[in-house]
Amino acid sequence: MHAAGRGVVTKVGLAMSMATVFALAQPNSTLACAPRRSHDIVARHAGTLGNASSLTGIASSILEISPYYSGNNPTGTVATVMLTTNNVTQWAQWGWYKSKIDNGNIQRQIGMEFYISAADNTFLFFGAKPIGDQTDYQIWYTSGSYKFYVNDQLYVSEGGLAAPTQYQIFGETHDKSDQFPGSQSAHETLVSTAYFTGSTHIAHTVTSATFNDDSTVSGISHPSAGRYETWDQGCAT
Amino acid sequence: MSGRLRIGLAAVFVAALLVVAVQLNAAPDLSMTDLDLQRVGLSDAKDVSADTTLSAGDAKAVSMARDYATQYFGSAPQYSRVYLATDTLPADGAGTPVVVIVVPGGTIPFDGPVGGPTFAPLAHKMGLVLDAATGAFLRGFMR
Repeated sequence: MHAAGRGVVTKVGLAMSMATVFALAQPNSTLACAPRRSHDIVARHAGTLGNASSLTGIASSILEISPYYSGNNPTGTVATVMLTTNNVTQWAQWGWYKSKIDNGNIQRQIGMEFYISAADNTFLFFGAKPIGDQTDYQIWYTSGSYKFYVNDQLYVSEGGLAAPTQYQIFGETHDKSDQFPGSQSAHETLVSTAYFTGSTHIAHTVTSATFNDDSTVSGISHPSAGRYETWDQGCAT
Repeated sequence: MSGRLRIGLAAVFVAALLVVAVQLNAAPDLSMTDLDLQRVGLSDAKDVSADTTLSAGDAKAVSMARDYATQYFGSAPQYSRVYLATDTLPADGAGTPVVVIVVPGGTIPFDGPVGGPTFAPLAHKMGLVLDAATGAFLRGFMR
C-alpha cells in the first residue's frame, strides 16, 4: 500500500513546486467567513480521541479548506491527525494548517510536529494540497519509526518515540476571532477515519465520542462511523 | 569605603554590564546538526555563510537563499546561516543540489494534544531547503 524509503520521501519533497508552495496567503475562497468575534488568543479544539492497545496508526481523509484567519496570533488554524505516547506527553501530528510562521506571511501548508521534549521538537512543512481536495493524512508506527504519509506517499520518517497509546483527530484554532474549520452549511469533513493496530496494521474505523472545548465557537458532529465534521458557530455559510 | 575600593567596584560593575550586553547581542546558534540534516533528507552540508571563495554557481545559490528568506519573512533576517549540501536530493532520478538557509525562531502552528502539557509553541531555529539551481522551496524545518 505504501511506498517506502527515503528516496520516495525526497522525490515527494522535490515535487513541491514554487507554485504549490506559494499557494500561500490564500484568499478566503472555500468555506471561509469572518465570524466577527473579538480576539482572545485562546486555543480551542474539537474532534475525537481514543486509546488502543498495540496502536500502530491513525488516518483520516481531511478536506482542504482556507478558513478565515485574522493573523492576530501566529499559530493559526489546523486540522490534523495525531498519535500520542507516554501519557499524552509526547506526540506525532500531521495535517493541514493555515498560519503565520515566524510572524511572516499567512500560509497554507502541510505540517508535521514530532514532539519528544521541549528541547527536541521538530516541525517540518511542505507545500499545501489544493483547496477542495479531500487529502488522506496518515501516521503509521512501524519498526520503531513514525511514518507520515499524504495520499499514500511517504513524506518523512521519524524515530525516538515509544509506541503510541492514543490517537486524536481534531480541528484547532488559537484565537476566538479566527474561523474554526468549516461553517454551519459547509462543514469541514474528516472522513474514512481509522486507527490501526498490530504489526500488520489492522484497520479499525473510528467511532469514539466527540469532544469540543467551546461549543459557543465550534460545532462538531459524528454522523457515521469514521466520519467527523466541524464548523464555526459564527459562520452560517 | 576607600576611593580605590569604589573604583574597583565600579570597574567590576561596568565589566558585568559589558558581559550582559555582549550576551544579549550574541548571535543565536544556527548550526545545522546531523539530526537537522537527516530530517530534511540530507547527510552533510557546508556552512558557506562567510565564504568568499565560492564558485559563481554556488554564490548565486547563496544569494537566492538570502533573497528567498527576505521575501519569506518580509525583510532580511537579522541573523542567518547558509549551507550548501554536499549531497543531493534525488528527483526523478536526477540529483538536485540544495541550499539551506537557517534563521532564528519560528512559531509552531500547533500546541500539542488534548490533555497534554502546555508549552510555548516557539522554535529555536528555522531552516528553508531550496533548490540550489532555481531557488524553489523544497521543504522546511523548525526545531
